[in-house]
Amino acid sequence: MNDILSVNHLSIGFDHSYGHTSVIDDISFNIEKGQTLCIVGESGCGKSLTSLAVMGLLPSGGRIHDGQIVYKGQDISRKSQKELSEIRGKEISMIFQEPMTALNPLHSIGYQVSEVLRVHQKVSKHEAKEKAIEMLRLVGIPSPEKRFAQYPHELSGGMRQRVMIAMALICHPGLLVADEPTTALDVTIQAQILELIQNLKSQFDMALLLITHDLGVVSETADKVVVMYAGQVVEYGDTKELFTEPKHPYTKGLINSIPKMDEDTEVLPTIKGSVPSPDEMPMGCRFVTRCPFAMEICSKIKPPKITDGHEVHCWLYSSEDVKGENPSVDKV
Amino acid sequence: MGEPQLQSETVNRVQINPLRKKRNKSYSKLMKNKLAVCGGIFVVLLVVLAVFAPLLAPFDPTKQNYGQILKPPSATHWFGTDTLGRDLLSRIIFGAQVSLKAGLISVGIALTIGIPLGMISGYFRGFWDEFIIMRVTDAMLAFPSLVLALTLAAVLGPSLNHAMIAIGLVFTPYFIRLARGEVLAQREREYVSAARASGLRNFSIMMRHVFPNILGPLIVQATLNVASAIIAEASLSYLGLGTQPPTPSWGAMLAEGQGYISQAPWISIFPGLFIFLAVISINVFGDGIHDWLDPKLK
Repeated sequence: MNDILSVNHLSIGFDHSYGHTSVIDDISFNIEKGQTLCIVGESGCGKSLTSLAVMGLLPSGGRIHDGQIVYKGQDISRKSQKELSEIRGKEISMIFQEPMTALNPLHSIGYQVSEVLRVHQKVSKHEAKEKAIEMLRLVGIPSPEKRFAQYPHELSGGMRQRVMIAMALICHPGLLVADEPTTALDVTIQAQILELIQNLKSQFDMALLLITHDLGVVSETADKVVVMYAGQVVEYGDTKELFTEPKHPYTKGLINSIPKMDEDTEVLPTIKGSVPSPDEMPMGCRFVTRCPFAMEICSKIKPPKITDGHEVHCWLYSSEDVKGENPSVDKV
Repeated sequence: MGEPQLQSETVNRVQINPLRKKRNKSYSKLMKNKLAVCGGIFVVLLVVLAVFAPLLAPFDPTKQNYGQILKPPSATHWFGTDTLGRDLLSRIIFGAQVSLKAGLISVGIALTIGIPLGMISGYFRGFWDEFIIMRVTDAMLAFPSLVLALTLAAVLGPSLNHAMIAIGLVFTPYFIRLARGEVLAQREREYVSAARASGLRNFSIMMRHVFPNILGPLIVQATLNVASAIIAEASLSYLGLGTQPPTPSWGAMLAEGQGYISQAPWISIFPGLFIFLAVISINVFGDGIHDWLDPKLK
């Protein structure tokens, strides 16, 4: 196996005074060395939580109930925080959505970049500074020697995100987790940052786990895509295949809702309804309340995983004889 | 990644404003805040007064002179004399020793105990936070602070050192609460997650990332509490549990003067004025330090 990361049957929930809420339910995917995997889905579907689980940074109350997160053959989901701190920043790094808040306002950017290096490697202060400057140059920060002593508020959003990337990559990690790295930036900068991440990815030969809700970003960067809905994987496969032949009604809905440049449409197609709250999840398929093809069985039993070309979790593709009306899928 | 793209992204402020580099020198940053400098100068002056009191005071602060009782300010006695004919200026100069010591050391005690406990409590949460540290601080805050200080000072025995310990302990819960609250706010900030994601351990995150960010409110609270501590020492001294007579302290002098406020107002005005000036100057100086530490205000 060439997998650098494989997530197997991962379930995450939150414990609270009145019980327990399951947020991520039985998700599995894997990333090979040097590959890019995108997780897409709407707000609240659990994509960020999945990325935090990979980092071992679940918010307080959050707990992995089941499943494994295997990085380079080791299950990191059961490791202690102390053990994880040796992996974080060195083996697996993360860049955050908001470069405005993800840097400490009271330390110079040079300090913050070199600090990561000094935590993981025994280097002198001087050596760390040189490497940090080199890294800042690599992420496209002009005159990094001067920038080294500057504070985050003196940089633009795009520059700060570059600093975050420099921090994340200074120890040459095997996997970079990027949680909506371009959402807070304006469109022209988004493209530059994505291009930078892609370039550095191939330069450092690392894998990339990219969390996004932007299907445009997915189609440009990803080798594989996981489509998530309400904490479950609904569809998973190669990007090209998934975009040309989407199977799950949710994926189809997502793709249909992208404005097309060559069509003159007044109203964009939408997916009706909204995501049910985690406490009121339907028993069967979680998309059943919004699915135009919902059948009786959908609201009762969790859909099976069907692997035909790529993975889809939907009763529509089941070979079992399902009760109820089965409308033609091609109509979508 | 071409060069033109990069330049369009950010304008290099260093290039635009070459003077900026000069202005960045730390002393000029502090100078910018004139009020803070004034405060700082007065604080230094008080320290000089306290340290060189024997050299600076025109009279012996404890020497009684029954021929000069309750004299208003004059050329010989600039601040007048008190009920026992002692020179008030000399007593204020010597009183700076006690009052500054009481203010700074008791707040120092409160900071040393309060900040680590509050930070640990806020950062790690859980049982120790909610059921031990917070309940103990609640219990301590439920007492009127003077009553608690009185009890502690009485148990320890009357002396200035014990009064300072008592005042320090009474102020500790305020710092625990403040530090905890600030840490609770900071720990949810993304830079803390980013520091954890970079592989930093909790201790490093607390010391290097969270602590500098909570320092501002703590400095302000500390400077305010120096003032309260000076007053608290005065109250304890007044009740006989702090500085023992005839050693002068501003608070004790203020208390002595209250019975003569109509005949000889200077007895209470001058110590009161010095307490006020000390408090204000420590406060603006503390505020200046806070601004000086914040890179955004440089």
